[in-house]
Amino acid sequence: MKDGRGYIRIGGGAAGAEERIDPAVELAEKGDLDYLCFDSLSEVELSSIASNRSGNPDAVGYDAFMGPRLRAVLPACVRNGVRIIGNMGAGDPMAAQALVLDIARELGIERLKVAAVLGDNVLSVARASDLEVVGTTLTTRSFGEKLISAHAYIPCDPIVEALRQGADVVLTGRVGDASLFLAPLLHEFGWGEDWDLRARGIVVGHLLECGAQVTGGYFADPPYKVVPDMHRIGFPIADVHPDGTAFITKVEGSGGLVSPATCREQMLYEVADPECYIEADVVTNFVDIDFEEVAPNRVRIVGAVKGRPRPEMLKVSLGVQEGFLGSGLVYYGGPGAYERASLAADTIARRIDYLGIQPQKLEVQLLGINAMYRQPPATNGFVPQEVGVRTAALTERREDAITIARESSTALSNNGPAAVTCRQRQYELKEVIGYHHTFLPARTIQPELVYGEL
Amino acid sequence: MARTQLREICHARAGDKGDIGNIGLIVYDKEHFEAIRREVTPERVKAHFGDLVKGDVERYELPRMGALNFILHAALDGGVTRSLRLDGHGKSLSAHLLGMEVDL
Repeated sequence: MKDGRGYIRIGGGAAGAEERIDPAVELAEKGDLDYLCFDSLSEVELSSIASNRSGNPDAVGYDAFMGPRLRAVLPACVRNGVRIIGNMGAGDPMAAQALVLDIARELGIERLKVAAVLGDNVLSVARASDLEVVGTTLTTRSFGEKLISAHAYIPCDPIVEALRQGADVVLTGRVGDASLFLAPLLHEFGWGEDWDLRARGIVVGHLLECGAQVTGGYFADPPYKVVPDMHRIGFPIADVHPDGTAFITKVEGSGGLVSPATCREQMLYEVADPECYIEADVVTNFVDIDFEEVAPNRVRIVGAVKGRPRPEMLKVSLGVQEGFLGSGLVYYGGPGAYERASLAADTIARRIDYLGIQPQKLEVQLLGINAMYRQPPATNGFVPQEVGVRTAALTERREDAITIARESSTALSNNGPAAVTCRQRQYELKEVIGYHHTFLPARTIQPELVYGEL
Repeated sequence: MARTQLREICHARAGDKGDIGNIGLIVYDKEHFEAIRREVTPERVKAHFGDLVKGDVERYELPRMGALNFILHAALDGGVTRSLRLDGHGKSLSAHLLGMEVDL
C-alpha cells in the first residue's frame, strides 16, 4: 500500500501471451500501482508450449513473449515500486525466473527478488493414475504417451507467501487467472479465510484478468457501443479497499472506455453459473452485483458478493496429441465469384478423396457466404463480389495435413477456377494438442517456492 | 407488440471453456429485462443456433445486472484446440444471438 493511502491499486497487464505490450508499460509508468498482474495462459497456450517441447526438447517451456514484455515493464516497475505477478512461468517457471534475472541484470537493475512457483505440473501423476477425463469414458492413464501436458489450477497461497517474503516478481505456472489478482489482496489485507471478502477479490480479478476486455476492448459495436481510440486502449486498474469496496478505472487520458456495460460484459465472460463460480481459492456467488459509474471511466462494484469455502478438488487441464490440422484459403472475386468459389469447393473435396486421404474431420467453407453461422445463403438479391474458400482438416498423419494445406491453397489456385488469389507457401499447419480436463484432490498438490535474486 | 432485433435493446459477449460456449446477454435499459426473460428462452436460443450447437442450452438469470447468461453445450466443434471453424473460440457467436428477433 503506497503512502499509507489505505487501498491497493492493481493493474491488469495482459489478456494473454500475444497481448499488446505498451499498455502494460503505460500502467507501470502512469498507473501509480502497487501491483501489476499478467495473465498469459489459456487452453491453447499450454498445449502449444507442450507441442513445441515434444518436437524439440530445447524449446522454451515458459511463455515465449515473456522476455520482451518484462524487458519493457521492468524499469518502470522497479522505479515506481510496482510488484509483478504473472503466470508467464507456464511450463517452466524456473527457466522463466532465470531469464527475468538475466534481463534485470542487462537493464542495470541492482536489486530484484524473483520467486518461481512450482507444483502445478502434475503430468507424472496424471500418466500413472486412472483419473476420469470429464465428458469421456477415458482415464488419463489410457492416453499413454499421447498425454503430454497436465497442469492443476493451484491455489494462490504460494503467491501470497512469496509476497510475504519480499518477492518483487512472482512467476507461476497454472493458477486460477483471477487468483493472480486475489493474492496481493490477501497479502495486504489479511483476509485469510473470510470467504465473502475472498469472493470480492475474485470478482475484481475476473474483471481485470482479460486486460482491455473491461476497458473498451472486445466491445465496440457502432452505433450502439462506441469506444474512442482503440489503437491506444488503456488497460484496467482496480482500486480495492480492505472492506472489499472496489473501483475499476484506467489511466487518465488513455484510449478506451470503462462503463457499467463494459464491466457487465466482462463479468459474465467465460462464466457458467453466477451463483457458483469455482476457483481454487473460493467459490463465488456474484448473481446480485451490478456496476455504477461514479465518474467518467470510473465504475464501482455494488451489491453483495458471497463466498463459500474452497473446493476440495482442483481442476487439471490436460493436453493430448490428437493429430494435425492443415488449412488453406483462396478467394474468388468479381462477377461469378460465388459460382467459381462453389466450383472450387467441390473440386478440393473431390481432390482430397481422389488422393485417398481420409481426414478425421474435413470442412470446406465459403467465406463471406455462410462460414461463420452456417445459415442458408442470402436470397435478397445481394451478389457477392468476393467469396473465400477455406478448407480445413484434422488428420492422423502430418503428411496428410500438409498435403491438404498445399492442395487447398497454391495448388488450388493453379488447378482450380479462374480469377483466384494466390499466396504461395501460406497455409495453416499445426499439431493438434486436444484439451481435456480432470480433477485431483487439492491435498495431493505440493507447491514449492524457489527464490532467485540480484 | 413491436418486432425488434435483439441488437436494438441488448449487447452481448461470448466466451468459451472447452467445447462449451457462453453468451452474456445484457439489456441497455433494465425496463427491457422482463421482455428478454420472456422471449429469449433456452429453447429459442438452441433453435436459433441450429447446427452450430449440438448440445443443450442452459440459462442463468441476473436481474440486478439486467442480464441472462446462456451456456451452449457442444457448441464449439470440440473446442478451440481442435475446432476446424474460422472462429475457434466462438467469439463471434454473440453477434449471431443479437440477430434474433423478439416481440417487445
